[in-house]
Amino acid sequence: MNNRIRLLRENSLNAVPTISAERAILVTDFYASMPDQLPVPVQRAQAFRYILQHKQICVQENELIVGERGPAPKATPTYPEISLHSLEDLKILDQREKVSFKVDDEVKVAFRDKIIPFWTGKSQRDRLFAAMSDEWKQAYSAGFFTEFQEQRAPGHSVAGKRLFKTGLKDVLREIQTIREAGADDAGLAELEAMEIVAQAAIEHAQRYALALKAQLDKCSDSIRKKELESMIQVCQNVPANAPQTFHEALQHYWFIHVGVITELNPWDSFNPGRLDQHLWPFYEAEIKDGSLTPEKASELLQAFWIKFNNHPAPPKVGITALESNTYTDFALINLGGLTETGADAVNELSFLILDVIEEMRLLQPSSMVQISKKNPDRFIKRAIKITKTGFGQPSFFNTDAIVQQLLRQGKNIEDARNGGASGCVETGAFGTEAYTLSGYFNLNKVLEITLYGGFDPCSKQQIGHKTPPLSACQNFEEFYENFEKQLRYFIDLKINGNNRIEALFAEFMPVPFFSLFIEDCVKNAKDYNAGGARYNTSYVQGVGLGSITDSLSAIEKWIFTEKEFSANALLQALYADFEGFEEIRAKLIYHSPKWGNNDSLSDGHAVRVFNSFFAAVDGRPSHRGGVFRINMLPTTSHVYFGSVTAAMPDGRKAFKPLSEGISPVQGADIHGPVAVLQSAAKIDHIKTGGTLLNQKFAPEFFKSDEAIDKLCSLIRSYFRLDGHHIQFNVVDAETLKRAQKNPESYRDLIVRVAGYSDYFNDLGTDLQNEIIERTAHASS
Amino acid sequence: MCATKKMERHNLRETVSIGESVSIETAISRVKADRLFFEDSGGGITLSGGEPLMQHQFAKALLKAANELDIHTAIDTCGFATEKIFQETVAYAKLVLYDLKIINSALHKTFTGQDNQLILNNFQWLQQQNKAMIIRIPLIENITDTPENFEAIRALLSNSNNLQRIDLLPFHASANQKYLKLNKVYQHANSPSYPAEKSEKALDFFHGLAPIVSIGA
Repeated sequence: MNNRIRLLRENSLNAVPTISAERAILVTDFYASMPDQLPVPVQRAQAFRYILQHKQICVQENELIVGERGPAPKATPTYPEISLHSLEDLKILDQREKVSFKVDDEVKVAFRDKIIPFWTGKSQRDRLFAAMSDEWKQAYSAGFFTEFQEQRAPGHSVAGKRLFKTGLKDVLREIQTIREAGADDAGLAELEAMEIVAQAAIEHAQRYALALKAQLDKCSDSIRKKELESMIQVCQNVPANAPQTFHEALQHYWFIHVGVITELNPWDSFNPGRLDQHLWPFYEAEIKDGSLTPEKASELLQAFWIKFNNHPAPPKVGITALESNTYTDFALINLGGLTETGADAVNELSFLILDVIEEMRLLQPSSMVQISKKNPDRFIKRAIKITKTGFGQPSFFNTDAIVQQLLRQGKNIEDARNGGASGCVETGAFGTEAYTLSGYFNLNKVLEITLYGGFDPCSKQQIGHKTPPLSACQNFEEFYENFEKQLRYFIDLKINGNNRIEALFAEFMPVPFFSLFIEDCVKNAKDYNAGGARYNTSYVQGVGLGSITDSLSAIEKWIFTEKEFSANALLQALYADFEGFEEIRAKLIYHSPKWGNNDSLSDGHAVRVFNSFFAAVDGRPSHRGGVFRINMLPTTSHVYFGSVTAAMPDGRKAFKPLSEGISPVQGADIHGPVAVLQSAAKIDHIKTGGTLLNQKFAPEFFKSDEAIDKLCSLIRSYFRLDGHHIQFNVVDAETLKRAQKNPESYRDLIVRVAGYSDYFNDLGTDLQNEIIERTAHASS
Repeated sequence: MCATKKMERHNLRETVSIGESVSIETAISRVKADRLFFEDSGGGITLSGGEPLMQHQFAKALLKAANELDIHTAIDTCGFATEKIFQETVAYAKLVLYDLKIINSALHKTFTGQDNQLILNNFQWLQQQNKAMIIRIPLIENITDTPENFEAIRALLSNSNNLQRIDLLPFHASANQKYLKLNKVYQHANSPSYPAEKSEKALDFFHGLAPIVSIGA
């Protein structure tokens, strides 16, 4: 990277995340003086315009791509109309050790005197909790599920190719055409709102042009002067008009990105999606006519990358502010995959962007490669070489599975091929689908209360159906039927609650600006949050498949098949968190079938639970006119869900983390990576909207080209089995130290010893220490 | 294969058995389950040990079954078996990983406790069969790395037409870990590893005898 990028990158890395009161003050000012009786979409549109008109414009020295959400990099706004931070929240954010946001006195005063008094009791969060049933609240507080929309707006959706080919003036013309064709009152209000926000975003870019002009007037450096002149031109052209150059395409997207994350705080911010596809026409033409070089393209991309890193995820409120969080806002750049016509989409730019990812090495944006059977091995291997540097990127996704998933859901083939994965691993038709996550679902909690006949040993209350406890079940089938009954009860609670929430967002929180970029919201004169998109999907994310599978296997084996101990003995052991029941625990951990070992008995339980979960959710209608679907991903909820679930029959102690994604219980897979992939592939990934599989490897695994070839073929095989996603974590010295202290959680950890590999657990302390030192050395 | 031992594991005192007894059917079904992975990686099964020829009937059945499934087969052996057993089993392996330690019979007997006539006979048979081979040579100071032994190995290998690789395996004492777990004393626990510069010399010596000559593996 050149000097300019180095400095901008350092500024971004060194910038201290702060809470900015700017947006909250502006939105409060607007609502306080708003004329009466405006339709809600128009209110929201005018609020958006008001913010963009009055916010500070931030242009840093030597920037190439401009646009900041706040007054400075990492100055992070709040969204009081969605959820209101208390003074206590601000204090915690300011003082917590990890993922903190500094809050200065001026901000505190603004919250105390203006923002909090105005919004108390009026936020979307207040409406949401008021609308939930008592049963929902009871299950929610006991930790059966989380609710995504309690602090952030629905989002997850990704920009499609149309965004990069269309200017806002084109959109304004389309709005005009739709209006002329006629619409009802609600439609007319939405169209009016869309018009206001499109115009506001064009004017917002003009403010940047003016700010750059002011810099130009003061600039004496002739090279920078030329740059500024060209940047001014770019800001005058986009997002008003369709981008004409590579530079304009990046700036165009970025202005829209900033607009989307200023309008509200949608989940996963916004996402340019298939970046190598969208930028390719610009790149190809300009390289050919000599107006762009790969070096210049790379510099622009690097500048673009830094903009993402300047925008931490807006922090949460309430008790969750105490938990360690993440700054990452889950924009996930997709590379590779298939073109709309089904051809290999990997191009020169795919490789150039991989270089950028490797060189930038930033937390944000995140990145992934889509791998279709049509993509070359060379592409996979280049990506693995970045993975091995150990920052978890890029991850690997199966395009052919994604296309099948989208087709099963009823998308047309072109929309399916234009899709990909966003956030963590969520499948979507980019630019045409509103797919929102509704919340994580704690499968293990449902199993836990089923053990006790619907009684929750943690919150000490009857919470589900009253069913016979494990000790009263004659056989495993009877027990499993009880589990399914409880499962359906909690899924119903979740889905009914979510439908009320969707209704609240449709009514009170339309997002006319976001709606401009997801087809067919404009055409339907209907908001993104009201079901205006071509496809509408609401996901429930199952968590802890490995843990629940191992628990079911253990129950079947010890209580019903081998009858080694009674159900009461097991329940007593669980209740005592295994204190005094070490022998039972040893059987549960070391002598029970475990998911992730290609063991048909265990895998059978996984498939069964998966199918029960699928049957309870898939195809249920949503308020927006779409349907509910499942995916299997945890982000970090397996830690939270573990913290509300007592000891379980898989031998896990109370309140410890559950397994994550579809990965085996930490350390339970002891037959190597191929067996893990075989187990994982037994659930039907095509019926999901994404699954997450993590594999740990020590750095030395990636050393030789031969090893990279092997990983490449491992990915190919998993994807041939329709696996959705796999990511490789390179184990660091700290992890090895933890493994030394807690061997039972790291039974799967394989390390390269001396010309051979062995389970880390099986090595003597001296050798372990030597490997820890070596690993620390290799990654330093 | 089934060593049993006492070990302490996170407050759970128990006997841990390493490995398991499996029927030939189970072994074949496990091989079958990985078929797709073998296809994508160009891999297959490798029987190693210990010494797989100690269980030659099982080894033969497994190799035969893999052949029928069109799965690539390899066997890693020291060649110490009767000609009949060796030929009947190894015939079903597409690739042989063969240990060559010491060519001089008397010295072989001194250091390994066994005569090497069978090993040399079996090697000759492999050469006649034109079997694809990877030769594995342990590097142990003053025992295997003498000029005489290296020359003898080179002379032997120069008659082979289907050598794919030579792996030079420098001595290290990591095996001590395994002895400890078996409550046994490893008498070379404190012996130094084979010097790296000597490994390089050995590499130079064998260079050109096979398409790939490498240290370790």
